[in-house]
Amino acid sequence: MNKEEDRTIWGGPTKRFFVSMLTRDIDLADALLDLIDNCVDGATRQLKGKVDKPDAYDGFEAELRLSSKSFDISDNCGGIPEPAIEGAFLLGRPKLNKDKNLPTIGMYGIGMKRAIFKIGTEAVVESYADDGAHAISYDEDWLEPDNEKWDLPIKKLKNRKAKGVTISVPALKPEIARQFGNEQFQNELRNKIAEHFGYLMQKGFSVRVNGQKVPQRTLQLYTSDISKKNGIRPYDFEADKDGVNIRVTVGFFRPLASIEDVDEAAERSVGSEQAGISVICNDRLVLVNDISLKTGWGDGAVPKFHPQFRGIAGFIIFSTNSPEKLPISTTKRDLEVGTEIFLQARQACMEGLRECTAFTNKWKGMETEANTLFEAAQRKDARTEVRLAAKHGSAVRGTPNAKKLLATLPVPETRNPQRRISFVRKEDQIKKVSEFLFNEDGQSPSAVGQECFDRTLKESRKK
Amino acid sequence: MSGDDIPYQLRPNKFIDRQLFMELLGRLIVPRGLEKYIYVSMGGRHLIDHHAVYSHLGIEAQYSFDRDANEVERQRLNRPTGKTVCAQLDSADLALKLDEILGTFPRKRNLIVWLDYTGTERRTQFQEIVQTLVRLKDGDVFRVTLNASAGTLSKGDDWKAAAAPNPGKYRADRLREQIAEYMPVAVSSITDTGLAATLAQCLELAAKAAEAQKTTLRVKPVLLTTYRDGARMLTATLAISETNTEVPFPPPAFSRWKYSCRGWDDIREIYVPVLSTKERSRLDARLHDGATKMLDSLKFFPNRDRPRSLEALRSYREFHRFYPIFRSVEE
Repeated sequence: MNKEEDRTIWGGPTKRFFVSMLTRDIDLADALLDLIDNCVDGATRQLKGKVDKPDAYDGFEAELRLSSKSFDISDNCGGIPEPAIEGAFLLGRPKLNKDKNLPTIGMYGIGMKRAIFKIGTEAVVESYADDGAHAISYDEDWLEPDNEKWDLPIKKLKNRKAKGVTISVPALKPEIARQFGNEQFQNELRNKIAEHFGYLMQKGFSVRVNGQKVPQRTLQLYTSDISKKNGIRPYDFEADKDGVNIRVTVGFFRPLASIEDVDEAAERSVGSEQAGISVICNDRLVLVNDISLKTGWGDGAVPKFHPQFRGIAGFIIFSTNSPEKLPISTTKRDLEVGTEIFLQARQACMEGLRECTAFTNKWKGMETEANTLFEAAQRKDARTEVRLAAKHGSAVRGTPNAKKLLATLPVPETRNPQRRISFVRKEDQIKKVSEFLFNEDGQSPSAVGQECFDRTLKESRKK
Repeated sequence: MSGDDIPYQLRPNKFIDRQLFMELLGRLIVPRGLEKYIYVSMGGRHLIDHHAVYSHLGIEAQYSFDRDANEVERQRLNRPTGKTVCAQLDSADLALKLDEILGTFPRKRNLIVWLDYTGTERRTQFQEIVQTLVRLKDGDVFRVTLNASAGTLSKGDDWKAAAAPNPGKYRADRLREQIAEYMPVAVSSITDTGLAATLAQCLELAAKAAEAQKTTLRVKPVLLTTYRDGARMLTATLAISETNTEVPFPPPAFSRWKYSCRGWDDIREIYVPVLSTKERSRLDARLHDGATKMLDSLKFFPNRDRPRSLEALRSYREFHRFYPIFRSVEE
């Protein structure tokens, strides 16, 4: 062998890859959500994984302050313990078992750094933990893509009573400063936080943005008492698989849309936003109101999403103390849809969607009658108050430790079914008939059509 | 739905296909215990399959379904025993209801499911097939009938209007449009008679998709047949096993069955001629001499020409013991 063949070449990463390329993979708001995720993971470590109680996160808080000048986030979630400091600032986690047996979501060790690189040109991370306080700084030189120096300065701080982490970014990148200064971006961020952390807030976690507490948003579905026959209820499935608890609930968050609503939605983008399936991993929302093939729409017996299905919503919840088993991608805002655990949940989700879409189709044209069924039901929080499978479900074949309860939604009378009559006429003609029937020309076209039919029916019965 | 009104005496091929299925079930599931099985099928208004399963195998736990309430009432009258459950159900909901069906027969553990499609909504059908397969368990039997008539993909000169180079390419493109994810990449053309073989390949991909979703699942074709009484059909019967079980399914002796299939491309064509009693009697006397001598014993072609007649008589010899005799009781 000659010397040329013995040569080795550098196969490691470049600074540029981390500070200016990886940051393009993530949306700005999502990068901020990653930072809140870290706060929540800190709280989960403080709670030693005991997060099942309804108010488990009570007292834990993250506060974000953003403006066109600067950004900072601080929490009271315990700080980074001394032995974990070095690992926390590596780009990528060397071992996957850092949070063994804890239901955290951080896995790859990239979220905090990627957010800092995306937002600012310098930053300081201060950590106040039980075993010591430290400050780690990223300066402008370090963040320079061509600078291959990787060492970060760390200094000890005087510890304080409130334990937690503060990330301060005193100098923002120009494009980020524009976004942070924009009130509409701040509102969007609040919305996203309300959605993504709604289930954690339900358990007591609090998030403030520029001093204002973000309200929680969780799924409310129509349900009626299990003893009630012909009641509106969600489909509900629950299983334990390889240390992951799976819950799937699909139902109606609002009554059926009338034909006029559906027409309006087809012409303009209105009000379908809350419809669809959300996926929640360890209390964090990973996918919001999905209406695509990803969650089963348009597959098997489930039709593609259509505005008439805008009352249907649901969630797939995965909870585990082994976060590497969660079906999520590195950005934590997307799914690994090919994993067996997700496919099993998707299968259950499709069953729920099938029941709800079939119900919508069967009652098409009879929405008013169907909606009396909704009046007899109540909207309840789907995660905390609807536990139908666990309490009343039956075994699922081939899936040990699983239970499900079909929605078994009411069906309309078929022997003398209601049928829709629909036609169009010129506006002046409708006004004329309205004047004739009601002595005023302002009645709605459907009221005019209905009155014409009712009077003719009455006449026909006289013969 | 399969409510077909053509009487059986005009469909000897379908009759033979069903007889083969009954014999297959005997070979396949008798060693595991017939008493463990529930038979689930659309059934049609007269529940012919259900009667056959009951009379040949003695399986009483049966479930039939149809989306039409009137057909279901008719099924209720025609059911072989009072234990047959007749339900109003769309085939799209079957996968969803499998647990409930098993709950209706709490002492049964395995399923024989037959989806008998006559229509050509292939995308929906393949998705339903996958959704059903992923819910099946070790020892279950899944059977599906698909419309394999080339005319469902192209008619007359429509390939020219679409500027396709030939009808075969046009058909392949059409099928790919319908079921892209289940269509093998290598298929670039489908001949007049080749759709059944292509659909069998597509079924293989659907089975693999189900196996990928449920990693312990194994799907093995045990009988693939094609016949044409009206439209050409493909029927595939699949044995379901799981990797974590000790008893092999299908049982090892099953491969010795004359009609057992060796892979997704091993399709048996059932192509028997429609024969009168006199014709049968003449041909049966020559049965052991082979198809050529049998044909030579006739002064006419039982099918359109000599090659087709020979082909039909070969098929007649192969399925001789299943060939039906239909006569009016008034004759």
